[in-house]
Amino acid sequence: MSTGTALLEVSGLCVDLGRIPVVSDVSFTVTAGERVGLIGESGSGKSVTALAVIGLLPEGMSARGQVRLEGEPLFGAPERRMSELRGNRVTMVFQEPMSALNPLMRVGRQVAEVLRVHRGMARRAARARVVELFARVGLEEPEQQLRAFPHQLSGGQRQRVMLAMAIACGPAIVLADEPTTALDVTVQAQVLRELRQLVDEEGSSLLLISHDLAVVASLCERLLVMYGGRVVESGATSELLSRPRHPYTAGLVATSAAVSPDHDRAAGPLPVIAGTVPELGSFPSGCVFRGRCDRASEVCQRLPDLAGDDHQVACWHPVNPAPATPPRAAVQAGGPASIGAGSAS
Amino acid sequence: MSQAGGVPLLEAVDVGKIYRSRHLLGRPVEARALEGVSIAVRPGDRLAIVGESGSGKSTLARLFVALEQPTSGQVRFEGVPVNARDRRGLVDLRRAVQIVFQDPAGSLDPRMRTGESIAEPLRALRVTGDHGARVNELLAAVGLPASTAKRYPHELSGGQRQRVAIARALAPHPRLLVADEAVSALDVSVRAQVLNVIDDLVERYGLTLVFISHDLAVVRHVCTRVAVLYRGRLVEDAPAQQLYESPSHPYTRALLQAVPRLGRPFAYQPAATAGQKAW
Repeated sequence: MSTGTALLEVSGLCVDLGRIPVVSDVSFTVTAGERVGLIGESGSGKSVTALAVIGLLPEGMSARGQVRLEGEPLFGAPERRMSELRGNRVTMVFQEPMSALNPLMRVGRQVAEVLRVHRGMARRAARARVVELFARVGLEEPEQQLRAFPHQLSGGQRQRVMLAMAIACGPAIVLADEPTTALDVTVQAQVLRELRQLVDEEGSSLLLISHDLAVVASLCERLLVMYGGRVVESGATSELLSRPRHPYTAGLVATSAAVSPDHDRAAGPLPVIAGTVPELGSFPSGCVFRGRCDRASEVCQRLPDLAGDDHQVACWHPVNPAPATPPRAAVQAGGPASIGAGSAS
Repeated sequence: MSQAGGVPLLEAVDVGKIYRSRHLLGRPVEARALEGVSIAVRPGDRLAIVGESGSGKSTLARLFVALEQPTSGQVRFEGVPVNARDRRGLVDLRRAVQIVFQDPAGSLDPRMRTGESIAEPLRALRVTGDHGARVNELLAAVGLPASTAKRYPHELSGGQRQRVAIARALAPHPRLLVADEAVSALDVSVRAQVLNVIDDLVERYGLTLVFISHDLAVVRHVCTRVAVLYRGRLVEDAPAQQLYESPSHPYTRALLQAVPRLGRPFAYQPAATAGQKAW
């Protein structure tokens, strides 16, 4: 798939909630220093995939398959080993920092704790390092912020504390699950900028999970599109935006390109994806998207393989033919709006 | 700032709103949600009110539908101050001005079938006519099958529930629809559908629309005029095209720049060139 050695390797990941499949046969790799975006709507299984990787699946969910981090299998690893890796080699940033932070502990101490546990740093040294980290994530007056409790900080400041915690030990990979969804748009832009800069500086890989195609596309080199618990398409960001092959991706690109401040209402109705996302456990057999797909035929009752090399798609009737020539470079916003059903007139 | 001529349907005149509460230790705390906001909604307007959290946009929505009263200034409905209205007047206002909230799960009674929910405002506001026929007509208008009337909210998807909430708001034939973050909680693939429904209904019924949102990307599709609130103050009010193409206030510019765009790789500068607090 990608050049370079796999830093994170997920193969045949299946997660069930009781008897309901939540994630089905998901495989992908993230190479060292690579930024990969995982895009999907509610019920796509994108968050559960991340939780399975880091070994924090909620009660009642069970995972099969394998996850390797730097070659080391994580499934079946003793909990002690997972605790050594979590917060250290693999870290996670959640959507709502308020529920990820301890409300009764000053934020400085919470970040210092990570360094004390994983790096064995003394209290004073850890504190000094946290001041540095706070400055790096863009927290003003870091010395003062150390003493703040989570509730005394704004949403953006709290998420910066989470970023500081996530990069404290120079992780191999940061998993960020909707890290800016709860933030105001101007704060979102700043936090995304900081996230990008931090993973660059640390040389960490990034798995950025979001429902917002524009957010992941702006930050990631490669995208995985999930729907109904499966990866339906994956490829380089520019390639996926300019030549989406799965009808779902094509619809997503079209609607995301049209819902933009650069796209005037004079262009007519917005391109849409028909139907709604089914409830968990109600996705059709075979192709998970066939219930909403205007290209669906009898063959779609059989599950399509995720096939291809750099650009993979799981579809019997893909939208754009496979490229005969080398793929085009970046696409202009609005360009892909002509792809997909019900396009602007 | 808005087009001249005609009595505004709804108007905020130098409106201020202060929320008073008490600190844990008994100290009174004041939160200034709106300050000196004047804005007129004229018949046929498709007005967006845009702002981030703490901008006061939702407070303004609640003042417009008389769910709250301003601390200073006036909200006027067809020239008559809303605060001075009696019960009878409030019924007139509720009939003429309806609101759709962000979370349809929270605004629909979980024990009520969809059809009853939609018909409820007709009864409450004593609208005459065949309520059953009206329910069917409304369901069709928002693109739902008539069978939806028999379903409960939990049996519907988020997008379907929001369509029901819109149908319910339109039941008493309002002239003005206030949509407060009405598509913000929806999945990306469903959001465009609901935006198209709103756009279509406004056109079809000749509604006046006040569309409140944090998202400048969404607003462009349903509105022809945009007002920007920042920390309780109105900083810009302009025709949509002008605002998007040549925003005059630095905050509007910052807001527009911050919207992530497809196919535009993230420009990040190592230093603090974010231009924050430039306004």
